[in-house]
Amino acid sequence: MTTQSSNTLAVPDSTGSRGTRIIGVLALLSMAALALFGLVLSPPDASQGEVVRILYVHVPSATFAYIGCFLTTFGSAMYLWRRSRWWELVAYASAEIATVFTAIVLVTGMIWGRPTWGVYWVWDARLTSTAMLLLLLLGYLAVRRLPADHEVRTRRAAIVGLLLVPNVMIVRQSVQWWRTLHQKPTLLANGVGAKIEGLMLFSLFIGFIAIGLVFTWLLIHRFRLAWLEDQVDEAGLDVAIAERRAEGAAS
Amino acid sequence: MSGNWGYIAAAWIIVFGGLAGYAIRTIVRGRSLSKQVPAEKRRWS
Repeated sequence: MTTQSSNTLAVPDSTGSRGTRIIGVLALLSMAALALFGLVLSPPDASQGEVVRILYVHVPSATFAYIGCFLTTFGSAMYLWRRSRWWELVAYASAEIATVFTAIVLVTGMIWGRPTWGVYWVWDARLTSTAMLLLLLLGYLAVRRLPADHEVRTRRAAIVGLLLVPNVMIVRQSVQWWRTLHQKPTLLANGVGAKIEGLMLFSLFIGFIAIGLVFTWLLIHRFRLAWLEDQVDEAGLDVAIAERRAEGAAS
Repeated sequence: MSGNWGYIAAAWIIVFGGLAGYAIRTIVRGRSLSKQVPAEKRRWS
């Protein structure tokens, strides 16, 4: 048996580790608990009825989409300031996950809106600003993947990444700044508007735990995948340079 | 209100299905690329 095959046996060929396996199991268990509390045990809302169950996945998804955007902006700033490759990969991984979560937020919000408002979509400030956030995230990913020099595209993507937090602030404050169809904050309401308590509050709490664990698990795996992508890119570049040098020496 | 269960099921399936699909895609790509990168460069291993 060769040394290489011994290494292959000792080191798993994946982005997983003991830590991610523990987080993964916890995420699966908490998602099962979320389904139990969100779909079975929690009561229907007095005004929304059963449709409130959509919010147990919609609201935590929105929160972690925002957290992904914050990480992308922070990582981008750190990359531009310190040229930190580690932070650039955190920004890139966070941006992709935030894109998935923002898309989920938009779709589940539209599904919630149909029985609640009677329409899937209105050009409401909250909905429109969230759609703009999704477009900005897609723009970041597109710039990051452009066929250009690695430094050039990471720097350009980081500049786009800086715009995410201001956009999140607009999304967050849109229901305060403008008259919108979307309801005002429920959890952080200062004694006015809708309130949530009892099993409904607990179900939402489980939602934050479950979606948070899934977000963490995805972030670690996506970061490692981005690291691998960089390594493969560098190896490919090294091979291309070696081939050019060999061609030059032969001619 | 009973008709609303279709909307609820659709939303939950999209969340669970979307996240599971993305997780599987990430894992599969990670396994594929891991074979191309030496073990000593995979610090988490």
